[in-house]
Amino acid sequence: MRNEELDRLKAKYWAGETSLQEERRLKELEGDGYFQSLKDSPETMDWNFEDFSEKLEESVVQPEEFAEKNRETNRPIIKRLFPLLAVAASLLIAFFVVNRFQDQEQENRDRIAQVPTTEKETVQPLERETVQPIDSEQVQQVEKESTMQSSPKGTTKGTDTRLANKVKQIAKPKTQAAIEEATEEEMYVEVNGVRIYDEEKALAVTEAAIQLATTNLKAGMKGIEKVKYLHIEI
Amino acid sequence: MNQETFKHTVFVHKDKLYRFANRFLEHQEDAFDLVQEVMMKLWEMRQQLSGLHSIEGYAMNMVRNMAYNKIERLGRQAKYLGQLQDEVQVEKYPSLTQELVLKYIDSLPEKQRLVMYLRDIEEYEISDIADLTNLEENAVRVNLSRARNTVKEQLTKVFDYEKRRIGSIKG
Repeated sequence: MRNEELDRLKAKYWAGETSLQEERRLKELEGDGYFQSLKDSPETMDWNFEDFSEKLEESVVQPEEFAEKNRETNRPIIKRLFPLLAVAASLLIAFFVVNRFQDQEQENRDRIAQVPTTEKETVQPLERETVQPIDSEQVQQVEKESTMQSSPKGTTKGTDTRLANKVKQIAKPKTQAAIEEATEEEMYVEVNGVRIYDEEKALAVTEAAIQLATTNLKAGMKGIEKVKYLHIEI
Repeated sequence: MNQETFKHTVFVHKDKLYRFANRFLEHQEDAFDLVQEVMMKLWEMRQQLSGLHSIEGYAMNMVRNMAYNKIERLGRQAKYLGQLQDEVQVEKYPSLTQELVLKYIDSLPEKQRLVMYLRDIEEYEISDIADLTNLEENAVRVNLSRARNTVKEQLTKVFDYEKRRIGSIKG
């Protein structure tokens, strides 16, 4: 290539007007460090198609699972826990309510079972008002009489029945107290210190209380949803 | 498109894509990862690739966009902000290699940098560069001329200094 032609070509190059072919000719010029440097073998990426295929297989094996996992992990922790928390809270409330009723029912049954059947039958018709507190003087009197009756050997039938009646009288308050306790331990719902024994009313009150608790819980959970960052330390 | 076709029409551009990614990212490992990611994406959309005017151009665009996203995401400063130019100038005895020219190219403004790199290193046609850079062909030529002259000036400064230094030692 003549010098004139070379200079013209170089000028064209610096003006950005050369074609690719002309630029390749310039790069072939020996002795010009700049154009030679442009011709140097460019760097390559050390990655072959087999590696790519392996990578492809790894990602293709469970694309749906990965996508699902990613969706899951991308959701905020509160949103992910919300359904679980709601279920747990409902179960907890239901458990306590059922447990409380069952306990009370069982307790009542136990107390009734503790009272002897014969005495229960005889005492049942008694009203609360008929129950008399045990008087210590009465006890002393009975003891006195019993000692008096037991000392002579020829006891009469009449004194025997009298003694039996007195003993029965003393025995009565004990069983009556047990029944009183049992009736007091009937199922009830306590609202603001007031006990409600009416079953229907008690159920209605309980239901209302549970609904209130659930509403509060939902409101609380909605508030938690607005939390952007949550740091929990265990 | 099966794997074999993909290999010959898309995967074959991996080196160009890697070098192009290197122009944007500071680390070769990042460029490597980026090209892998681009290839995986291209494979996922392999059915649509046959309708493209230029798969290579499309892939290069993907690399450029993803590299910009990565730079922005990592808060890194692009190479061409001037720091590399300083590095080159403090070098005592630079030799005129492609690496050195690339460093000067990397220090150019974005459009000039892309145009000169694609033309002088990757030997793209002006029309393809225009597509890739969203510039008119005339604008590509103007940017190319400016870029080449800037690089020439900088190289002249360094090597003229070297010549003078050697001359003064001999004298």
